[in-house]
Amino acid sequence: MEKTLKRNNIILIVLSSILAILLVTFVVLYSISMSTQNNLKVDLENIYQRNYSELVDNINNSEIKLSKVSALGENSYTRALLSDISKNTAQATTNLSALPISINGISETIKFINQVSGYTQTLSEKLDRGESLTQDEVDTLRQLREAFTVLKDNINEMSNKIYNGNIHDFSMSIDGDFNKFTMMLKNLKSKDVDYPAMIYDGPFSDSMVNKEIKNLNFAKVTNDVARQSLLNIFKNVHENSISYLGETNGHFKTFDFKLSTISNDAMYVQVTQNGAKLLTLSVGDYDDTQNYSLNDAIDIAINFTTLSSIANTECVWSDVVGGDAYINLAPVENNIILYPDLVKVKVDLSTGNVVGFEASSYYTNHTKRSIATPSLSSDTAKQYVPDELYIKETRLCLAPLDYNREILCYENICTYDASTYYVYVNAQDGEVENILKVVETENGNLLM
Amino acid sequence: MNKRKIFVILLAIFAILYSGTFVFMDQFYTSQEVEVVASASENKQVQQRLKELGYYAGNIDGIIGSQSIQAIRNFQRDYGLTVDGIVGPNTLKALGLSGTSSYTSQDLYLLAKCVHAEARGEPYVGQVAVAAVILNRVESPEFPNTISGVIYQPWAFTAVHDGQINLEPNESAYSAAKDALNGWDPTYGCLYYYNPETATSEWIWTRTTVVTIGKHVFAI
Repeated sequence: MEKTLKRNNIILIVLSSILAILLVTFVVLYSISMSTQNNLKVDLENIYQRNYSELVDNINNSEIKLSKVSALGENSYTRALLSDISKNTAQATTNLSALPISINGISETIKFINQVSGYTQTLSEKLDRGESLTQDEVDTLRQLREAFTVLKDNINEMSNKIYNGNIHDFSMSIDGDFNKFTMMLKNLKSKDVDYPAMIYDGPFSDSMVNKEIKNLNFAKVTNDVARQSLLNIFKNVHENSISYLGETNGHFKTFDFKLSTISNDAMYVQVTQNGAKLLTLSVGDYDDTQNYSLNDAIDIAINFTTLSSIANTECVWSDVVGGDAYINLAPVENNIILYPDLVKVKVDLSTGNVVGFEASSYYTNHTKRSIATPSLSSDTAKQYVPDELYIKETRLCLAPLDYNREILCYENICTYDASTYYVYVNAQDGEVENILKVVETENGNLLM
Repeated sequence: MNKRKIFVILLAIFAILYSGTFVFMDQFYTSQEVEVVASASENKQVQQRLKELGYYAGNIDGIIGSQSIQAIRNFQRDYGLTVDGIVGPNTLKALGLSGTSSYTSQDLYLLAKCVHAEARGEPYVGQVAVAAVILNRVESPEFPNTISGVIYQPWAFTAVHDGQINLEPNESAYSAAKDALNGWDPTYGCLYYYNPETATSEWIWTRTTVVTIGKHVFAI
């Protein structure tokens, strides 16, 4: 009896000691974990605070510069001011997007700031070209200043709450669909004036989003007609292997189908509801073998595009990545390459099948244009290319270099220091409109 | 007091503390595990190359264990690199394996990572569509103006928020990202997508639906 008691006591002592050790380990680990967590929280809060402070600075600076522009009217300093406002407001958006804002909670405010940036940039470029501001533009700038002052006052008022509180904590408490931090910013809007509309063709303008589709003035068809049109393009596809998936009702309206072919994964195709034109085709392809050459692929791409009722195209850019050839085709009229009307085709080099097709630019932009004859000859245009570059080839093209503006240019393909450059010289006045560099990467060549 | 009872209570406390300790240990090691998973394919390349050069005799399994680390250290010593057993840019270069991404393909890499995290398991065109939504946001005034700005916008993508973005993208995600960068957009300008089975935000239902691809509804 006594022996059992003694043994029990020993077990108790051993167990208690293990327990004590574990307890200490537990407390130590817990405190390390808590302090790591706290450090991370402080670091995160510091990043938020930094971005918030920069946001307030950028909004304040933009407002001061907008006041100067609207008070002084146009003068030699205006261009620099407008360019500064554009930079400050762009930076403000970067700051805003680094803050823990629920998605779309304050999209109107972000949109306003982004558009002020785009608008002032467009005006600054206009002054750069030697033009001056119209009365409408000056009036819009004044309205922008008024709206901006309200935004600035509101944000500065909110700062008092932010400095006393903690952005991280505000962001963690959810208030309906948005977090508390978003709601604080969102509530600013209720005291706001209406944001003035900015009419311009430049970055973030509304006219970019809903660009008119110029080349789909055809009658609406049924999805049966759309299905039939696919049989004309994909000759070796049986009618039964085309299944109807539904409609896309966005900027383009399409009927969507899935095609099963023997050699490919399922193909996803979209056919326009107006005129039953093939708009896009996508299929995954990860085979790296190359049984076809790039030239074969270009022929395949052109034939396929012609079958899809887009004629007279030429290859203007091609690149082989893995087992696929990426081919850009553009219509050519009177020896002028129409870059705005690009059709993009991807050809699988192992099977020679088209595994990608994209013609939305073509249907958006292609139209009967009256293009003025160039004032400069190609030889004269070459003189405007910087001397350091060796010109390999020169061709006329219509380039979408500016927002919503198509400019007739001489495209000069040049080399310098083992790199290739594309230099675009305005065919009327010799102005260099853009310079692109071919950047070779492991994922193919890029024009940057 | 009943010794048996004390014994049972002590055992219970022991069990709780024991499991509790593991919870904390877990917290410390999660991020490291993700990193190992993230670069498994790259690790295989490193092991393969080390094997070719005669430094490594183990399996090409993508797991950097003590044998691999020793091989890396030996290689680094012979090639005059810092001997730390870690494969950084210099060691990669010496091995003849360039880094995973140069600055020009950084955007493609990031886009592919986001597509992989958000839409792996979706049909190919659904992956292109997710990449296209990200690019549409870059163009939209309502969102940040760079690919990284859009992807890392706080609270914007679930898979970025929970760290899945750090998984290494597969070929399908790369291909989809490249197609989208090249101008493919099967959604024609959509800015949002959601999975109607799991979406919790009521706000998202107010958006205009454009097309459904796989499990995702795309909207403007």
